[in-house]
Amino acid sequence: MHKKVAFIGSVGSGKTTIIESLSNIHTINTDVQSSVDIGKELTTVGIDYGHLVVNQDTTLGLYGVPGQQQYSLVWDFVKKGLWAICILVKNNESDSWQEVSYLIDYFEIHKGMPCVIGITHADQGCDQHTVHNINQILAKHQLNIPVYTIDPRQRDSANLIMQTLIALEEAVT
Amino acid sequence: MSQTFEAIFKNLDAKLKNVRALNLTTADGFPLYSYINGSFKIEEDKLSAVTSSLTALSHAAARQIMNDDYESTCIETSMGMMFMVQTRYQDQDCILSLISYGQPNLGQIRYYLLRLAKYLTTAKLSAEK
Repeated sequence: MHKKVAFIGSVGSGKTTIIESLSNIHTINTDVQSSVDIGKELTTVGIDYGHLVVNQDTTLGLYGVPGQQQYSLVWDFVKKGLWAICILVKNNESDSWQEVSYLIDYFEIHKGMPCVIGITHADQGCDQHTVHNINQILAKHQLNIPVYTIDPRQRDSANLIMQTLIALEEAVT
Repeated sequence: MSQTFEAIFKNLDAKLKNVRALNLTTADGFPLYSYINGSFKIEEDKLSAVTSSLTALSHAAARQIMNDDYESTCIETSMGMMFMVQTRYQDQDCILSLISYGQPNLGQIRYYLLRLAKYLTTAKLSAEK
């Protein structure tokens, strides 16, 4: 069975990187030079795609979308038929965690859908303020979603997200 | 004296007829210049986002499937056509897009838009949009 996982979150939160870390194939990416200062040289404007073989029966399509809300046309395309979602949040950046609520609504994340939140850019340790704010948002939405601090560059760290999504589905079914 | 984008649009519309919109956007989707004709309704930000996404996907398809360099993207509908070409403007990677209704001639659109894209690489347009 082929399942579709979306990686969403603000600009620079590590969506392209985590897909590159997880994918068994060379990823398709649509990065272009950024014309404004976003703290990095390249930004995704189309779609990132990677492919992960979980076992003989299950493969995952890994889809990354642009972080800016103006690209909601790409979000709409990826949103259809999703099995699971990973929201990436930049540590200690209020814009990034404030957007979580909007993303939950837009992607219609509900209790029956495997979902994980990964806090990135936490090299100096995760700011508890970020975790606290995310938990408050989740409480408002009456959702109980695991929140991890991850390094998207590290395959083991990225794998934690996938293993959690699989475990969440098993827990639901 | 530098040209306005409106003058460029009108010059193009005189040749192609039924041009509804002409847009120059950065590769990462920030609109630089847009000219929308008459009653045609379109959000400039949305047009820029669409063109940057589609062009980036077209780039990926050209590179990874056809093993070649990207040149242009064309969308045809029952009412008209949207054509996108890459260009550079003021040392930035950009996309030039045109929307035409009626019965557009793809060959003409391609010719004039590629010519305009080439012109833009060395042009400095008037600040007036």
